[in-house]
Formats: sequence, C-alpha cells, structure tokens
Amino acid sequence: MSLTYLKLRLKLPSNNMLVFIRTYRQAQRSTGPKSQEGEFRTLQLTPAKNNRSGPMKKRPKPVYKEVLPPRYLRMSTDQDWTNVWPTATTFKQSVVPLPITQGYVASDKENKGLPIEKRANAELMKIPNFFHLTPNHIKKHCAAIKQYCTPWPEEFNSDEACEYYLPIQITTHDYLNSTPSIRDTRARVVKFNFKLTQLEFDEHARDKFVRLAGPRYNTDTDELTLVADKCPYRKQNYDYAQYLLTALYFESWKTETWEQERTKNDWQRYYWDESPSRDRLLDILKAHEKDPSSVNSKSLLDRNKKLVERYRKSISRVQDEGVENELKNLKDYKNDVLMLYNLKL
Amino acid sequence: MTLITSCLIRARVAAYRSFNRFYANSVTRTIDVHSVPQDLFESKAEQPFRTSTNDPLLHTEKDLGLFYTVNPEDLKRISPFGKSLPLQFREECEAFNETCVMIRQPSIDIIKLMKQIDWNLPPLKVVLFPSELGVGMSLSLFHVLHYGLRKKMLLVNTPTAAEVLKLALDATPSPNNELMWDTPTAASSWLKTFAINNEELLKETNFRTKFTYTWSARESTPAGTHLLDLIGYATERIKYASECVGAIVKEVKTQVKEKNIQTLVTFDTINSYYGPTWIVKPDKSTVKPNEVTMVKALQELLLPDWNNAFIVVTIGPKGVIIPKVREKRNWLVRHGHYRTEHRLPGVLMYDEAMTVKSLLRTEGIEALEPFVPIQVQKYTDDEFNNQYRYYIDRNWIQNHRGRDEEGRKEILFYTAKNPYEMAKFVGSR
Repeated sequence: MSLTYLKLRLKLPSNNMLVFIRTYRQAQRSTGPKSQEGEFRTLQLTPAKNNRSGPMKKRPKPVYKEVLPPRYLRMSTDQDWTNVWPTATTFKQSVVPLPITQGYVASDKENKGLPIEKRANAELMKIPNFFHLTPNHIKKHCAAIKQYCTPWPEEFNSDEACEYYLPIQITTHDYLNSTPSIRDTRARVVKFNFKLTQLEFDEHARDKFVRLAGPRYNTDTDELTLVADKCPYRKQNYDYAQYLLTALYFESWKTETWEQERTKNDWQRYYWDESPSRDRLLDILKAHEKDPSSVNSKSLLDRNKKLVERYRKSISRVQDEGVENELKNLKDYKNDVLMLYNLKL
Repeated sequence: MTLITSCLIRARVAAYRSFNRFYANSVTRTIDVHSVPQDLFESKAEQPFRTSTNDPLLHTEKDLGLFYTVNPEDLKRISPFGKSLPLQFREECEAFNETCVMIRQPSIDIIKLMKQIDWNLPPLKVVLFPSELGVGMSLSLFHVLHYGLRKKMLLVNTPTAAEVLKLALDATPSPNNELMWDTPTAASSWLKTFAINNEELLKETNFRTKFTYTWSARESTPAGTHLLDLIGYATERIKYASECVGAIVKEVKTQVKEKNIQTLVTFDTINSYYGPTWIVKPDKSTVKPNEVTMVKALQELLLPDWNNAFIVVTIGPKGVIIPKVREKRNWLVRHGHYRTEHRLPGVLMYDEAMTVKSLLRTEGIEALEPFVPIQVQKYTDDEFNNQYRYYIDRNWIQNHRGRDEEGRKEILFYTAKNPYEMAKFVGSR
C-alpha cells in the first residue's frame, strides 16, 4: 500500500519498472582505450574535449507569461485614493504611485551607497505605512462616526479648563474582533494619568510622593502614570489603581523616624536652607554688621530678606540646572555676589 | 610581504603623517586676495601692540589686548620653579628671549575688584573658568600675581594644585596623625615658593610665629620664630614640611589682620581639591584630597573666618583627576601623537563641559562660596591681531606666506582665535 502511495506522490509511471536502485559504490570502469587497462592509466580529472559522451543538448527557451504593467501606471490622476487603499495593509510597490526608496546598496562591487527603489524592496514591507490615514480617509471616518457623537461641552473651551474640570485621565481599551469569543485579556488594563499639581502637598510630602512613585513620575511634564493590570477584570484593576493612588498620597504625608537620617546625598534638589552655603552667607552678613556679637542669624536673615532670597534662588539654579543655562545662571549669581560685597565691575 | 613593499608602505604612512602635521604649508589657498581691502589692515599695523608701561599697577582698560614685558627679576620671584606659567608658554618665552604677557579682560576685572574691595570682610573669591582648553587662564592669573607682587601684597600662591594629588610619589602616612598623608617634596617646594615670593615683605614686617609647634617629642619650634627660619627648618627636616604648611597658613590667617598686610591667595586648578586623587593606600583604596595634610591646610585658606585677603582661583580640565588608578597608564599621554595632539602631556582627557558646576561639582561650589565667576574667553579680533603681529615681530612666523594678509586669515581660520591652538599652529608643533 505504501508503495502505491509513494508512486502516486511522486507521479511515477505505474508499470513497476524502476526498481533499480544502486545501494553501494561500484568501481567505475575506465572510459579510456583498452590498451591502458592493467597498466599505468592517466588520471583524468576533467573529461577530455574530444571525448564527450554525447552531443550537447539544446535547452528549450523559457517561455514567459505576458504580464500586465503595474497598477500604478494604469491609475488615473484624479481617482479616489480611499478606494485604492481602504484599510491598513503592507506596502505594495505595484499600487503606490510614488517613487519611494529605502536603504542603500551595501555591495562593494557596484552602485555602492545608492538608494534602493521600491521594486523588490522587502524593507518597505517591514515598516508600518500610513496610506490608509490620509486626510480624505479621516474625513470619511469622521463623516461615518458623526451620527454617534454628542456636542462638545461649552465649559471645556481651553486646555486649562479641561485640566480643571477633568483632573485625572483614566484610559481603558476595548477590543473588537470577529472571533468566537468576545473577551480580550488586554481590556483589563487601566491607566491613571494626572498632574501632580492637582494634589495638595507640602515640600516633604511631594518629595516622598515622587520617591515612592519612582519611574512612574515624569519630571519633565510633572505627570504621574499608574498602570494597573494585575487583576483579571477591569473593575478590579480600576479599584486597585484607586487604592494605590490613595495609599501613595496618604503615605507620603507620613514622616517616619528613619527619614531624619536623610543626608545631603539624598537630596533630589539643592535645599539651600540646610546647606553650608547658607552658613557662609550668614558669616558674611554678620561681618557687615558693626557689632557682630549682638545679632543672631534670624534677625540677620530678616534684615536682608531681599538679598538672601535673590542669593538663594541664583545659587540653587546654578546647583540644580544643567549646562544649557549655566552661563546665564552664573551671570546672575555673579551680580548677586558683587551686590553682597558692594562691588562694581 | 616583501621587503620593498613594506618599505613602500612605511614611506606612505610617514608621508601621511607629515602631511597631517605640516598642513599649514601644503593647503591650497582659495581666498581671492583682490577682494580683501588692504588698507584696513595696514592702518592697524601702525598702532602699537605693546603697552608703554610694564608696571601692572598702572594698567587700565586702555591697555586691553596689548603686551607688556615682565621684568625678569619679578618673574623669578613670582615663579621661582617656573610653575606659575604653563610649560608651552615658557618654551615660547625662552625662544623669544623675553616674557611678554597680554593684558586681558579677566585680569583687568580682578584687579579692578581688588582695588575696591572692603578688606575687613571675609575674603572674596574669584573663580576663573575657561570657555575652551588653552584660553589663557594661568596667564591671567599670572598677571594678577604680578600686580600683587608690585603692590607688596603677601602672596600665598599654589601654582599647580593638582600636581600634589597626581604625582606625589613620596606620599607617606603622617608621623603625628595616622589618618593623614604627607607629601614632603611638594610641601617643601610650596614652602620655598612662599619664602621666595614674600622674602622682602616678611623681613620688613618682621613676621614671627605666635604659636609653638611641636613636631615630635624632641623637636619643636617655639613661638617668636621668624617665618623664614621656620621654613628653613622645615625644608631641612623635610619630614615635617607638610605640617609646616599648616603652620604657615595658621600664622598668616591670624596675623595678617593686625599687621595690616593685604594677602593675595591664588590657586591654579583648584577643582582637583574636590575630587579623587591618584595617591593609593597599601590596601589599594584611594586617598581623598582632604586626607593629604598639605591640601587640608591649604583648604583652610578658603574659609570665611579671616580677613585682609583676596582669593583668586582657577578651575579647568587640567585639574580634573580621572579616578582610574589601574587604567591610568592607558589614558596618560606619553609622547605627542597626531591623534592625541590636542591633549596636554600628562593630563587625562576630560571631555565634559567646562563650566563651574561640571568642574567643581556640588561640594566644590559649596567650599568656594560666595565667589565671583569670571569666564576667560578666546581672543577677540584685536587681541588676535596683536598676537599675530607679536609673532611676526619676534620673527616666529618666518614663512613669507604666513606673513601676508592671506596667511593671517588662514591662521585665523585654522585656530579660531584660541591662543593655545594658535601657538601650536604658528610654532608648527
């Protein structure tokens, strides 16, 4: 049975004539003249030219199918592109009527460094494209969705108003698939996104909050992002994120005993009031006074409030900010110091 | 490979290198000479590039960008061991047979501050920081030092502050304090510099010690010893030189007020005092700068608990000590190579920003506060022209192509008005 199956698979002739299979190596007979047999035979690695076994066979010419020119050559210039490319698909060079290139020729032999055109360019198929999101596409989408929309609330006329009325942004995703199950595990994820200015903090609480949040806090935008995806259902994750936010906030207001052990290396920014810089400034202000022994540090600070505040701001900026603004910050600081010493440059 | 091909390759490599080195003479010129107005430069040539006064006390803002000649006796007194001026500049001066320093904005500014300062306040610190490598911080500092010397101020000068922490091969644990490390050679050379700088002033004011110093159970220096004698003793008993630096600092800080001597404290590359060092303990951990006796003593000069003093410090890439004790050998520039030509010999590469925060870090800024930061810039157009004419005057630019207007423009283009780059380019190093 298996043999018939094999024959069928290989489309072999069914007359059972090809059972001749050589299973071992046989010594080849010499093809040379008979006189050499038994003597020293010549070793012929390549067949001699005059001694071919048969005449060269003529290969048949390959017959190619006739192919139509690519579609982009047959397009009219005023067609509706949304009909050509209705949804997101991989790149097709025959359809896109643009002279797109990607990559360059790496070969040392020829054309090195030249850009590769779109035909037979697999790289273009790997990257995402946005041919399905042209303005006309968007217009069509919007026109289709419009019947389901409600009017925009009048109160939300600016970004600040939006921020004020909607302090927190809660993001979830729904997934629709044409599959037997309507469940999608990705739908359980809940994301909380809000700015820290929405919450009430003192200096310590804010510092602790940022430390507890860790990488979830973005310093540049002052935003916190909490993502809850541990529980199997969206409601559970939502509740957990709420709990997490509450716990974070109230935990940050607590002051533990071990927080007193904080050293200078733990500062997130330069606290001038606790730094030796303040003592230095006080020394100099004291030296300005007529009888230094009578004044204490508090009265000194009160008397020179404006100067101290300026000095504090400028030195903190020098310490905290990066190289970009440093020359400007140093200039401000220089002016403050010159004012402190009553000097002019 | 045959011998001939290897020779050929060597020859090609050599040709390539030489091309790289002496590109000044082989570059094709593309400037159209006729488009350049000739009379403009000639009218400038009539103006002098040297000042009439060689006394820094009389220098004003009118002398900006002009050269003044340093009196050789003064030079010897300010930098007896030649450390107050950078090596490359000293080599040039030797060739020119004179020491000419350009009067530049930062030094004029500092002198201006020094003239109006209230000496009863805690010392003001001026921090010079560079815009690039080799813009002439040390030379500005030298000008200030010269001013101080002429004004008969007490000079407390530490010319190369980073050197102690880098090259102290003789660092030993202190005999009196186990935690501290002595650097006898560096300390004794500092003491000698101090003595030579202020010999006349110390003799005039009869500067004697107020405290008794006990070096060991048998050796001590009683109160009332002259400072020069104390220094003489310490340079002979080199074991106690490091502690003697502390003694000198203490005496200066206490007595300067009552003797009414104005003090000028200068440090070159002070940012090395707020970083790691290359001194290694027997257990292979590194010594911190404030564990070195001499450095700790000198750091006390920066405290605000004394007056009658003015402090000028510089910070720069020369003072940055890169904490790679093991890999030091890989970073160190042994001899000039065209790929490492822009590095200074004996200095590790420092590629970060040359501003106060990145050079001094938080601790350094705190230690120096409050300070007046002054940036040393590259040459202005006038300064560049004066420098160029000085080189021609000294016959340092001998190639006739370098002497005409076109050559001047080429030097300007290649060096971008950086003084050190210019010296390298013109000297075809």
